[in-house]
Amino acid sequence: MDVVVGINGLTTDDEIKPLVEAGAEEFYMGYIPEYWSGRFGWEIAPNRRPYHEYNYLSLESLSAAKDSVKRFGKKALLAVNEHEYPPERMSEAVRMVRECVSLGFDAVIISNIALALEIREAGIDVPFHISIGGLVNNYEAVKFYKKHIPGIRRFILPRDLTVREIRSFALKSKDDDISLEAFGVGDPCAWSDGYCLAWHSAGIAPFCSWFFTGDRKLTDLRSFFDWRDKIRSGDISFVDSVEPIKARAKFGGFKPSSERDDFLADIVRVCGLCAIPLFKKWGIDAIKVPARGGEKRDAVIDLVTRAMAAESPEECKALIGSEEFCAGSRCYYNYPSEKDV
Amino acid sequence: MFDISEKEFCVMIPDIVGMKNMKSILDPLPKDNFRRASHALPRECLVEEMSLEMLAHATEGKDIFSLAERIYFGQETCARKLFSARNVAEAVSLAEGYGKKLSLVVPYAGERDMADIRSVLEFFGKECPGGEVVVNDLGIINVIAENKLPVKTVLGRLLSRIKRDPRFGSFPPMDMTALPDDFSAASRENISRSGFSARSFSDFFNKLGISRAGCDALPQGVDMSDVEGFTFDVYWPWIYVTSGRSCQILGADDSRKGKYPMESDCGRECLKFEMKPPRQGRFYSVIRGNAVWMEVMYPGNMAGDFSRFIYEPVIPA
Repeated sequence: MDVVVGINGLTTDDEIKPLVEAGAEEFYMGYIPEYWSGRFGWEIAPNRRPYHEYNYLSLESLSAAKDSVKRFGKKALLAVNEHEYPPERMSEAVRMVRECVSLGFDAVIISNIALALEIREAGIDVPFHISIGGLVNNYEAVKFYKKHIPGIRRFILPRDLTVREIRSFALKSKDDDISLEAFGVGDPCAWSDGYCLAWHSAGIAPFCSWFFTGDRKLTDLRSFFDWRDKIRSGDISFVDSVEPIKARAKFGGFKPSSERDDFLADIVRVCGLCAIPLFKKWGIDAIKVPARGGEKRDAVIDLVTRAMAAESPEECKALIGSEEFCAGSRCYYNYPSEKDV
Repeated sequence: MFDISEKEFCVMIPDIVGMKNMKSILDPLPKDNFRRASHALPRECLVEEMSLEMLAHATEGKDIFSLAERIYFGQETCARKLFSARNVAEAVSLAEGYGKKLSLVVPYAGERDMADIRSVLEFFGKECPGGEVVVNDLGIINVIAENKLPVKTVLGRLLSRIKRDPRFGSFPPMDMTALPDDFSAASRENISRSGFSARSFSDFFNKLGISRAGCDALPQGVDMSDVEGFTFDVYWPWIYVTSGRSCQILGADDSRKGKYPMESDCGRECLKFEMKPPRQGRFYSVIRGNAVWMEVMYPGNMAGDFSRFIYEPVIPA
C-alpha cells in the first residue's frame, strides 16, 4: 500500500527527503508553463489549481523536482486534471504532457476523457491515473473508462464514497488490471470534485469554502412549503398567514485547546485514518494525502503510514489521540468497523 | 434574458408533487396577495414570480403551461431522493394527460444507488421505449449502453463543466469584494469556452449515439459556436454550482454526523431546510438538497445551437 502525496512549486529538494522517510512512495505535482498562462491568463489552470505556488512554472524547476523524487526511487506523477479543455487549451495540455513524459514522469493524472484520447492520438504512451475529477462514483464508471481509454493504471476514488462502496470497488476490481487509491487525511472539502464547477480562484478562497466557515444560515422552510402546497391547490387564503422563516442553530465543531489539537485542526484537518486497516485488507493500493505542499507533511504521512500498520480502527483513533476530533465533523468515514460493512 | 423564440420550451419539475401541481406552479400568484406575503417568502419564491413575469414579456403574454412542449422530470444531484418506478409511471401518465413529452432526469450515483437507478431506467424503457433520459454520470451511460436499454441518452448539464461562481460579474472573473481589478483579458476571453468545442470530446459522445447536452445559462455567457455534432439545452434561471454526496443539510442538524454524513441515514432534511452562506456574491446562492445553486436572471451571451429552453420555476433539488 503506497502513500501518495502532493508537492508544490515551493517544495525544495531538502523537503522531499523527510516526506520519503515518513513513507511517501508517490509524489504528484502541477505545472503551469509560460506558454499556458501567457495564452489563457493566470486564472485558468490546466489542473484546477490556478495558485502559482501550487505549481512549477518552468520545465527546469519541474524537472528538478521530478529528479529529486526519482533519486529516492519514488514515483513522480503529473496532474493535468482540469474538467474541460476547449480546443486551444487541449492542444497546450497535450504539449505539456508530451514535454513531461519525456522527462520520465511515471503517470499523468487526468479528469477529461477527450484529453486522454488526444494524448493517445498523439502517440504518447504514459499510464493514466483517473482523478477524483473524473466522475468515478461507481464501478460502472470504471468499466466505462476501461472500455474507451487504453492504458489506465489507477482510479482515485472520490472523497464522498462510503466504506461499503469502497469495498465494492475493491471486490469488483479483483479481476481487472487496475489499482485503486482512496483518501486518507487532509482535504476538508465536502463537495464532489468532479461535480464541483465552482471557481478555484488564485486571488481568493474557493467560493465553496463560504459554506464551511462562519455563520451558515440554516432556514426552516416547512411553513413556506405548507403555504406553497396550499396555495397551489387553490387555497389562496393562506397568503397572509405564512410564517416568517427562522434561522436555526449552527454546526458543532472541533475547538482546539492544545498544541496537539492545533496540529489536528490545521494540519491533519480532516481524517479517514480509521478506515485504512480495512482498505488495506480489501486490497486498496494507495492512500492519498491530498493538497500540494504545506507544513508538517512528514508528520501527516507518518500518521498514515502508522495507520497502514494498524490492525483496527481503534488503533488508528489512538494515533489521533483526541476523542473530540474523532467525534464528528472532521471524520470522513464515521469509524467503520468490519461488522458495519 | 436571451431569445427563447424558436426553441423547444421545456419545464423542469423535480418531484411528483410538482408534476401534479405543474399548472399552478406556472401560474403567477395573485399580485396583491403576493405583495402582502413577499416579506416572508424565500428567495426561490420571488424568483419564480419574477421569472414568470419575464417569460410573460418574452412570449407576449402566452400561457406558460400551454407553451411547454416537454417536461424534464427528476433531479440531478441526489440518488437518495430518487423516485420510484411508481412515481415514473405516474409522471408519464400526468405528462400524457397534459399533452407534453417527458424526459426523465436521473442523478449521479454511488455504488449504493446503482441498482435502484438501473431498475428505474429499465422501467422507463419499457414504459416509454425510445424516451429520453438525461444522465449526469458516466457509469449510468455505461449501464444504458451495456444493457441496451431502449432509451435515448442526453448528457445532463453537470457534464458540461464550464466554471461558474456567484462572484462572477458581467466581465468575469470578478469578485464583489476581494478579487483584484487586474484580471487578465486572456482569462476573460476563455472563461465562457466549453470542452464540447474540442472535436475529440463531442466526437467521443457522438460515437456513443449521444448528440444532445445540457448547459446552464451562465453569467459570463457560453460560447458553443464552434461545437459540431451537438445541440444543447439551456437551463434558466437556477444555475448549478456544486454538490456532494456528503449532504451538508443532512449533517447540519447533528454535529455528530458532521460534514461528511455519508454513512448516516437520510432523514429527508432537505425537504425541511435550506442553507445560506454567511455572505453573498453578485449572484444569490443557496444550498438546496445536496447542491449549491445560484440565481442568474440575466445570463451573458449564449452562442451556439441551443435548441431547447429548460425553464426551472423552482430550484430543481
